[in-house]
Amino acid sequence: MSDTSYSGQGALWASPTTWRDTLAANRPGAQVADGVFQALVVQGDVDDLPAVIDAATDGRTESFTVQEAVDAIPGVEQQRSTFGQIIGVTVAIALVVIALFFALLTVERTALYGVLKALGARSSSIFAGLVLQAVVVTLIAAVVAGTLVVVLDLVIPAGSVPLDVSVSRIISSAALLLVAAVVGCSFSLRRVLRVDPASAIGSGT
Amino acid sequence: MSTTHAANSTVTGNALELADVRKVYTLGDGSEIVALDDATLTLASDEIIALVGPSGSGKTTLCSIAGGILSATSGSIVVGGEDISGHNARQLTTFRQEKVGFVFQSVNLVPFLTARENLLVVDELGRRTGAPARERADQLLDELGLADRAKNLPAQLSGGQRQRVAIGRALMNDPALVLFDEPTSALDTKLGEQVMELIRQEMKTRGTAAIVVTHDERITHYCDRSVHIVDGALRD
Repeated sequence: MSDTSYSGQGALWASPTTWRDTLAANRPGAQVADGVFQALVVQGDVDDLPAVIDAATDGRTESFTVQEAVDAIPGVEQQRSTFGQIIGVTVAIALVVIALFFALLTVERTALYGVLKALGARSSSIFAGLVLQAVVVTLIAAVVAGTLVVVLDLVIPAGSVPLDVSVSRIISSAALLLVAAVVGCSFSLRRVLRVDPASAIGSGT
Repeated sequence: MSTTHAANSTVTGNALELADVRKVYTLGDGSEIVALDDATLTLASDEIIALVGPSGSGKTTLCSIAGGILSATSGSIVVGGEDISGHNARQLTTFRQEKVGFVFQSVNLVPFLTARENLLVVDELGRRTGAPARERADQLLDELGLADRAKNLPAQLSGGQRQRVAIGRALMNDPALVLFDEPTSALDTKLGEQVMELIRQEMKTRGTAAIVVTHDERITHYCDRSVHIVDGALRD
C-alpha cells in the first residue's frame, strides 16, 4: 500500500490465514481462536454508532469511530502535538518579527506621520494604512510560500517522505499568518496615536 | 471640493481673528513659560502678512495655534469664520483638512510618492472627491510650473521645485489660511525672491490669506504688512 502507514511504518493487507500464521510464529501469546477476529470495521447511519454497538453486545465489545482508532495508535497523538507546537511557535515568531519590523518602520516614519497629521490625517487613517501594508506583505509572502510548498511536494519522490500537502492546510496557515500580521501591527498603534502634529512645524525657530 | 471653493470666494469675513490668545507652559517645578502673551491679530480674507521675530519669540507657537495643531491656554481663535478655540483633537483634525494649508520649513514631502501623488494625499485624507481633486492637482502643478515634473519623486526634484510642490499641497484643499514657515531660509536670494513672487501670486489670485514666518527682512516687501513678535508679544 503506497499511502497508508501505521505509526510511520509501512502497512500491508493480507489474508486472515497469513495473519494467523504470522501471529503464531511471532507472538504466540496474542493468538485468538479460529474464526475470531479482533477488529471489525462497520459502517452505519446511526448517531454515536460505537455506543450503540457496545450496548447491543452488552459491553463485550469496545467500539471506536475510525478517527478515534487512528488517534489511539501509539505515536499519532505525540506526532500531531509536536507538529502543532512547531506550527504554533512559527506563527508566534512570525508575529514577533512583523511587530518589530512595523514598530521600526513607524519610528522611522514619525516625522512623516507628524506632517500627515498636520495636513489633517486622522490616526485611524494612518493606522489603517499600516495594517493594509502588513496584510499585503503577508499575502505576498503567503503566496510565495504556498507555491514553494506545492513545488516541493511535486519534486520530492512520492512515498519517501510522509508529506501530505492539502490546499485547505495552506489556506488555513496563510489565514493564521494574516491574523498574526494584523496583531503584530497593532503593537505600533500607541506610537501612531502619540505622534504630535505640532512636531511637523518649524524646528529651527 | 468645489463647494468649498465657492464658499471661500464669497466669504467676506476675516481669514483669522486672534483675540487675547495666551499659550502658557507649566514646568515640573511650578514655574511657567509664556510662549504667547495676549496675542491679538486680525487678517483680512486675502491679506498676506510677514511674521518677523528672533528665534524663540513665539512665531512658531502663534502659527501652530492659528493652524489648529496646538491648543491655546486661553483666548479666542477664529479661522475662516470657524471658532476653533474650544475644538478637541478630532475637530481640529477635520478643521485642518478643510481650512488650513501648511508649508513647512523642511518641506516634508512624502518621499515615496510622486509630486502629483503628494498633492493628492490631501484629498485622500479628507473626503475623497476623486476626479475633481486630480484636475485641481494638475491645474496647480501647471500654475506652479511643475507640469512636466508631475511624475517625479521628491529626490529627483531641486530644492526650489520641492518647495513649489509643498505650496501646491498647501493649496489643494482651498484653505482660508496658509501658513508658511521660513519658506526662503534654504534658498539663495534669487530663488527666494522667485518663491515669494509665486506665493504672492498664488495667494492673491485665489484671495487666500497667508502668514509668512520669517526672519529674512529681504522678503518682507512681498507681504502686505509686517507684524513683529518678541518674547511672545506682538507689536505692529
